[in-house]
Amino acid sequence: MSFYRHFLQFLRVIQRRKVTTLIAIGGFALSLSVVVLLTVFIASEKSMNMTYPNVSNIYRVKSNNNGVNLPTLLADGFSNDVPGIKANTIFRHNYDKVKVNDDFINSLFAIVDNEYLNIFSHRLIYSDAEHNLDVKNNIILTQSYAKKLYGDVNPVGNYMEMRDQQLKVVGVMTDPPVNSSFQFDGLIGEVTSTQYTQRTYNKTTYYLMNHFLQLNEGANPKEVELKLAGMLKDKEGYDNTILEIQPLKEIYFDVKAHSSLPVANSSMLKLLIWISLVILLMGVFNYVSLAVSVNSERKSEIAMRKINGAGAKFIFKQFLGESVFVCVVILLLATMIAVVIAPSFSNILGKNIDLWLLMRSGVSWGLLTVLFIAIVLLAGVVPALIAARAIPVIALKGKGSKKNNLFRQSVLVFQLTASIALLFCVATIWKQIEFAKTQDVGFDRDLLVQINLSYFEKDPSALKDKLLQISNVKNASFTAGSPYYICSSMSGKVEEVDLSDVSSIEVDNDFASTFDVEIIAGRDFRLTDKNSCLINDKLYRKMGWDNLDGKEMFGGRVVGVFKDFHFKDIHHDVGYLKLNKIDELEWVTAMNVRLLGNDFSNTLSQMKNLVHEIDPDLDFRYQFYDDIIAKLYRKEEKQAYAVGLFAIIAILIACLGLIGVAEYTITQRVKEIGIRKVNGATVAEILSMINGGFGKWVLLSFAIAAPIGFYTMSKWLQNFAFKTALSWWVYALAGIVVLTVALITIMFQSYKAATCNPVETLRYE
Amino acid sequence: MISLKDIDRYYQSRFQRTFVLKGVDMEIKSGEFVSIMGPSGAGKSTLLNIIGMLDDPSAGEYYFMDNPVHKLKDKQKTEYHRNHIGFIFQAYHLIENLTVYENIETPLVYKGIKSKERKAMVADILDRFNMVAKKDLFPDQLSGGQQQLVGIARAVIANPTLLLADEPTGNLHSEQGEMIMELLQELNKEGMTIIQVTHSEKNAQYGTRIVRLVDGLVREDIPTNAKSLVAE
Ligand SMILES: Nc1ncnc2c1ncn2[C@@H]1O[C@H](COP(=O)(O)OP(=O)(O)O)[C@@H](O)[C@H]1O
Ligand SMILES: [Mg+2]
Repeated sequence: MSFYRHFLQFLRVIQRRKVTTLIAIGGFALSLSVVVLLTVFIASEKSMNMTYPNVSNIYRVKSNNNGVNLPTLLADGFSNDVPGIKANTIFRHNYDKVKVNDDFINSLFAIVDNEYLNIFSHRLIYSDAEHNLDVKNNIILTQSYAKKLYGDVNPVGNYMEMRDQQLKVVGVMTDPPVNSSFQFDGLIGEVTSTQYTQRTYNKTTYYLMNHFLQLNEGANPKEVELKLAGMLKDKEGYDNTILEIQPLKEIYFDVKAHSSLPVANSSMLKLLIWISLVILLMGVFNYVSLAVSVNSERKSEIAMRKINGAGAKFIFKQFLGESVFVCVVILLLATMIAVVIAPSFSNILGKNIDLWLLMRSGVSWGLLTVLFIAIVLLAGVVPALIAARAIPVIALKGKGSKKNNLFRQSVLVFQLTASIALLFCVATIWKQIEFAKTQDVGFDRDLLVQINLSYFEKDPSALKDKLLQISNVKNASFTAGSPYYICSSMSGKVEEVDLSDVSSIEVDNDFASTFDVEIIAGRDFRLTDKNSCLINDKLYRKMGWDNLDGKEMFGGRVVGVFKDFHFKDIHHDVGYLKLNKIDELEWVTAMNVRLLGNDFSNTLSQMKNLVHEIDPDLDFRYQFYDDIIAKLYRKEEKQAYAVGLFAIIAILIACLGLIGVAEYTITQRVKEIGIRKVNGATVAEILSMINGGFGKWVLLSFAIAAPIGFYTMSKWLQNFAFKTALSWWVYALAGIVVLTVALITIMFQSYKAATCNPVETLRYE
Repeated sequence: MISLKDIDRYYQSRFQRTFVLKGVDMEIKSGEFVSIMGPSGAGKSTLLNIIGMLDDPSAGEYYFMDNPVHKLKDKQKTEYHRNHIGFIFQAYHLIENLTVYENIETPLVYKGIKSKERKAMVADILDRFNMVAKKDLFPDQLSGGQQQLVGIARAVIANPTLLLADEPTGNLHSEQGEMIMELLQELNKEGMTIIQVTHSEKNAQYGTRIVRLVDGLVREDIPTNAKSLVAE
């Protein structure tokens, strides 16, 4: 039979079932588009850093307590003492301002050495003869940054000013790959940076850097690791430190490393993979369920075609052809939806999802083909086979078997269950984030503001006195490092007690009063204290001390014990903390100020003026501790948004499914409704009968979703040392929301059925 | 043309076997117009379906034009449906999403007849049944009698040797019913073998022979003009 004729006839089938078709196709396309986007996202996350040609030979050096910022003096040891290492380099981000043609431009530079370009395979587009980063005051710009600064001309030989230094542009390099952990505007050699950055780090003379190794082709990484394991042991503060190496392709998923490089949570990826699977299944089931019900309505057509001489093969071909057509429509629609929602998706997931990149790669075409075949098989061949096998006599008898009903209802329950479970997850994630943001951190964070002094050029001592004269400043404390920004930690033995990972912050004598931290033993710092420290209660108890007489720790005299407070996000338990008294204010990175009253904008501008009086070049950056704490949970917030979006999509698909089932059920019961009305049932009674039927399914789904949600969220909360409770009311809320949405969805249909004239419906035969 | 030998048809449930037809023997010659009668549930439709190869007997032998149907494969049965057997149903069973024209055309398409030829054949039969004006309508836009006319047109367009009709007038007013019966009689006179199931003695009279079925057994098998011993 001609294709065209068949096509027209099929269009009529669709036209007769506009709602059903729209639901089946729309739901499937929606779920498919989400799955496509998620697949792209997951694939691009998984391929992070994979575009570097040397990726399989590059390793990052890491200490056994997850430190990746390690002393630069290591570097000499690598190349000299360890066979198997072909080359090594260092890396550290450095935000700064440069002055080009009298404009200040905030820039993100990377401090590296000359090997970086080779190991990470960067090509130089322009360069002078030497282009050596190991020469002081040389800088290499990335292509896009050079273009931003100088336009399309070759900028080599130009000078740019940074902190009184004249940097010479010696080269323009290719941009770092989009899918790379290492993003920057330009490269500066370590020799250039040392003069002004070194002092802002640890008080110890170590200059801390990320270290990367390129191993020889075929070198055994385990052997290399063994060789360099003990290289830091003889350095002060690193007694118990064992070095490890980790492959470049893993660093993006290492959440534990204390690194400034971006990381992804692999458990989040797993969650997303599961969610996309569930959403795909929802769409497929939705479609198959409706396709089967449409086909069962077409039973008599199939039978008649057979009786008129169509063999099973004909019927199979006809229905398969229809399915293929529908699948093409679904795929096109899915692509369109994907293109439309890709930007908001990228926003929520915090990553640019490039669909065109997907389209251009051969792998994805392969994947798409596989997907297409899978869809046609699942959504096309199954109903077509059922149709082809239909035995005419049976087909001509009854309508819709019980089996079909069971399938439809299972699909509905599956969709409602997924919706409720996802909603519950979003609510719980949200609750945990609120808990994290508002919990008592142990110090008073109200109106406490931190001003960044990392790049403060002058002696800050003068600053403090003047600061305290501002009327709305209650008190202030200068620190190097700060709560939630721990720059140094130590491990080692103190009085035979093994201490690992003792975090430390350098503070002046006003820390406890400014942060409102209680001293519970000994005394607070005095202005004149030298070489002394305070420790937290946890560390005190770990040491098992009962007084502080003559106690010392890592070379400092312990003068007091303070009550525990949080200084890391609540993924981590409250750890050991040691506050070292700063001897010279010159090292500080932050000024922590307690404000009074509520006119902070005025107070802040007064402070800004004050700071600029002393160092006019300083970029005045401040953050309230409330915001610092809130920022710690950005990632969780993104997760919540993402899961929230999926929950909404799931609910949407479930609603589509619901409309389909409602349409079907109500059509089937139209006669029953008519008879009931003739016998005196009111509209309200009919409505409650129909709605009660669907309410039952929501209830059942709720019962299934509860344990699933509970399990998933218990797992998710395991990432936190401090967790919110999983409360029953969150479940109830999820259930009620879905129930409400469900009833609103079918309201129109059920109302129409309940109010229709029984004389009309009973005429159906 | 049709020869049924000791045909049984039963349904097997878990605990028992229910016979719908038991030991049916029947010979039908080419050109006959047989009316099958009997109370509801007697097995009339089942018998008709077996004859039409839509259903298989549980036991016994069935020869259609001397070929053993009980040994035929599905494919061969499809061939018979294409070339030799036409069906009419009480509920018409037109394909709802096809027009009158397309419904009538269906058997020709499966038979592989060329489009031009099909057009001529459908036009002929539309003309004969006085339905030219209705050819582009869909089944639900027609009255019952008109739908049944389309059903008959579809059943006979490929010029089958055997026409099976299961209560073709069951859903129709007597006036429309008469028209249908006259049409069947006319087709029979042109040489088509017809077997119909009917509840109406009057309709049965259009045929040449009456078979009475009760509880799956053939109680009587007589020519139309003979006096029935069992009919009330
Ligand atoms: N699939 C089936 N399973 C069990 N019994 C059936 C089935 N189909 C039909 N029957 C029974 O077979 C008997 C004969 O049916 P049928 O041939 O349709 O009778 P009628 O003479 O009214 O056309 C009826 O009693 C019916 O209940
Ligand atoms: Mg019957």
